[in-house]
Amino acid sequence: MAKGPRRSPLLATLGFSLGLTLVFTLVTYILPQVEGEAPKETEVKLGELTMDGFVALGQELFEGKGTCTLCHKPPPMGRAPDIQGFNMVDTAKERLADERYKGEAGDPAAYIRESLVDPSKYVVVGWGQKGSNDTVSPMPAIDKPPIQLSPVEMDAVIAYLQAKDGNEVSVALPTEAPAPAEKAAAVGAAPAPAKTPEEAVAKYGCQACHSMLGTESPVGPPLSDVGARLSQEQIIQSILEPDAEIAEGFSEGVMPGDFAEKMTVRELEMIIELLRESRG
Amino acid sequence: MADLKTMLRLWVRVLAALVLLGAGAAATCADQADSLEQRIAPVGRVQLDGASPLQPLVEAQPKGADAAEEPVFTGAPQLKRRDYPNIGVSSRATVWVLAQMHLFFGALVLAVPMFVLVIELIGVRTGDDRYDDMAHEFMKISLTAYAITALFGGSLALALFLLYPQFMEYLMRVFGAQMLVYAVLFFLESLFLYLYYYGWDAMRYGDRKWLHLTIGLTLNAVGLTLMVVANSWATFMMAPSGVDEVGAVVGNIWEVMKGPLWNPINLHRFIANIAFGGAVVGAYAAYKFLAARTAEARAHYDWMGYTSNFIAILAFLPLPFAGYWLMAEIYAYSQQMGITAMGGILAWLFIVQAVLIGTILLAGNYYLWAGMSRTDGSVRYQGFIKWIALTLVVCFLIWVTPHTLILSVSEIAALGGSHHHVLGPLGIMPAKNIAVNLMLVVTFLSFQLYRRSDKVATVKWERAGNALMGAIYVVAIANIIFAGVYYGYFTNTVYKVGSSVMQVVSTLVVIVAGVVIDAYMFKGAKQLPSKWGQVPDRAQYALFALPIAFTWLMALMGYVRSSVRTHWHVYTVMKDASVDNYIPTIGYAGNMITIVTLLFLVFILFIFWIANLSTTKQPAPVVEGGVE
Amino acid sequence: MSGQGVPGRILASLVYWVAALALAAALFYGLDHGVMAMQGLPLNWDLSPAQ
Repeated sequence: MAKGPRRSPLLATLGFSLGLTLVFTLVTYILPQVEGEAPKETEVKLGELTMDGFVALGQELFEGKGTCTLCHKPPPMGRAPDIQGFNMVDTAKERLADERYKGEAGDPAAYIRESLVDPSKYVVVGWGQKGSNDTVSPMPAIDKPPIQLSPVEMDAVIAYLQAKDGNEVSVALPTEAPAPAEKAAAVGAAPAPAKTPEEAVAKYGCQACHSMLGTESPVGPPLSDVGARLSQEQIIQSILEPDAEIAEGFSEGVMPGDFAEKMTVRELEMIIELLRESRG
Repeated sequence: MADLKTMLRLWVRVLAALVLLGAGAAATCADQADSLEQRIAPVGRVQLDGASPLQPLVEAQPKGADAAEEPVFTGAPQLKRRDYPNIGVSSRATVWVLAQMHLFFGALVLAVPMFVLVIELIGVRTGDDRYDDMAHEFMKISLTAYAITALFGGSLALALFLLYPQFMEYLMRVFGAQMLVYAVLFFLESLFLYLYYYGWDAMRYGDRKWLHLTIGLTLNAVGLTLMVVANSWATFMMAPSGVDEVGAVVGNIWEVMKGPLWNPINLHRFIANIAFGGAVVGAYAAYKFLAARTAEARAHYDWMGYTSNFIAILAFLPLPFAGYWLMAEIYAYSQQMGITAMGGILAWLFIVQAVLIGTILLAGNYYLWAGMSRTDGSVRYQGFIKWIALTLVVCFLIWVTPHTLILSVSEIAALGGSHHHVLGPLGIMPAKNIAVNLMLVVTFLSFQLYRRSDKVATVKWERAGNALMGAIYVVAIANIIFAGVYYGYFTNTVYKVGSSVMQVVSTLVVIVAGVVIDAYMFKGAKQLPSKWGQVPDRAQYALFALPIAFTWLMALMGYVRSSVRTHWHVYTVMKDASVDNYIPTIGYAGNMITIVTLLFLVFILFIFWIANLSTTKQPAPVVEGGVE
Repeated sequence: MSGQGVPGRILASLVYWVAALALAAALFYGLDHGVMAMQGLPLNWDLSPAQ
């Protein structure tokens, strides 16, 4: 069944292809036209900031740069507890009292700050990483890239979470000289040296893992009797090079190895003194 | 179709051979990698896990802060807006177009030789010259496309160095000598490609044919290596590994390449390239079919179009599973990145994706139904078609139901992440999972009916076999719906996610059972005559819809993949401070995607035309005498 | 299909179908348990979550 000359299909196929492409393009037009702004490096004039402005900044960060609302939203869409849905100050108090709480915060503001930088300190039941039995949080540390909020910005978020339900705002307004948010990170975080041994222990979070000064923790070897077990040299080595020698039953690489960079000489001296006197 | 069965089997063998070749290459670099597991752990994941439970609270400043005080030679450059050259047109748009064109043609050039080799093997096995001719004809398209790939690759590199010099300088530093390896591979690819194409007729029979097949295999091995090397650049940008938090290189090149997303992307691109390549050569066959003037030509191009469609759909079916793996790895690497892709602004693009995949499935199904008219045996199955069509349409509509309903301007403004509280129950994942799996199941049903339409089973247990097949369809569909509805709406999140695996497995069981049962049931079956060329012209437009939708889809998903980095050149390591560091509106992205698709279409038509030209001979002038 | 109404044929068809459905149902029931258990999500006998 030989056929005669046929019309060139060029126009028909081209027309069909163009039409189909146009349909796909139109679909993109009927969807909402939203731009995803890159987070702005907001320059907050700290000197002129009022508490209302600070709270508003916190809300802006919560919904914008902090990307919190990506996960923290109302059920059934939420991938994390609906923070905006409940009074976080009351919630924080309940969690601090919960025996599953692993952190060392004493009040709601400290709890919120802690959960920003170390979310696994308390994992709400049902929201932990799969297979971790709710001991590991899937949330990234907010002070690290890619989100990287500065301490001032985190304070603003805390202020917002306190203020939104009418609670009193307990974080202080930042008072340092006006600085761009990024610089504020470095300035705000340089901690003052501790004045007493107890302060130094608290500052470096020793009690998070070690049983000492009346608190209990099973993560690291107990230190309440360390003065009886180790010499001064061994104590120094254990702080500065934790992995040089590992106490039986504990694992390597858990204790941070950078205390040498962080502690002042005075702080180290105070801690050693304290430990040498701890004889159980 | 015994030929297609052979094809399938050979496919698997060739793929296995390629994988072995690739694995060998990888193993040489991998031997030292295990001990360095720690160092290749990607930057993001280290942070996600919260590295050490002991980290004191006060250590809140970014690690980069002290590094910035002394001159840093090793970290990634931290750029300011003024560091980016401004050429008057959008740098991002320029790179977007060039990169996408390079990727389109690269995909085509890499994919075509893969199935050409398989078709050539079938030709050798069956001794049927039609296969060899078809394979040779496919290669012609790949060859012309190769020059265009190189052209766009060069332009892309130039544009990147011109418009993003610091970024490229950083990438060069990270990947270093690997770029030279890439250049060598590129040279080898050219060499083998030309040898394979131009040596076709010189090495057509006997031992020489096996030499030719070996060249084809080497060509594919080089091509695949080329692809995975290039993939490592893209995955490094998404999930850097082998560098520290500020981007300083701490690992060797293998550690840099082997990021958490590398293999998922490799697999996904490998499969998608084949589907894409099959779709494009299908359009070529459709074009030639519509232009054909003789019954022989119609028969030839009908058969070629059918084979191309078979390749495209076959490669397309596992693609969602590869995509699922990629997305799961993205979530595992950084939940935030996963949510940026699936839950933020970019989530809207998955509605467009649903439209595109729906188009592909409808076109593929339609082509199969139309193709059933090639044989009289198909009347037995005509009754199913309307139900398949109905299922496809209903599932398609469920799939495109947006899961975020925006009701007011202020909510649009809040779309940095927050979704609306009132959600249509059809908009969330379980409903969509049901829809997608059912679409795949009924597409396979179309395929199975098509395959059966020209056969009559002669085995005794035909009725039992049919009952079993039917029961598997019924129970699988019931199971998919049950899993989606029950676990999706009435249990907790973990079970919801887990049940989607259950649905996927159900779909796979149908496909595997269908292939196995039919293979045995139609062994030695009575073959009804098939009339190639006896297919309506309008069926050819389905073969055009396929590559158009594939091209658009590829550009769209590539855009999503690239955009999840948001305002980072290299995620968590090197910030993008350029004017284009935001995610554009969907309409803008749609325009860009349409531009690249149309541009690709123009180039492809040019390639078809060139391929035609090479077989057109001008009659010699009578007076002067021939020059030949 | 010859739906002649011969009772024996209908009965045979019915038996085939019931058997096939039962077989498929058993297969998928086992599959559901297996797939979920492999992900660390065990099920009760009635397929409800066991955790």
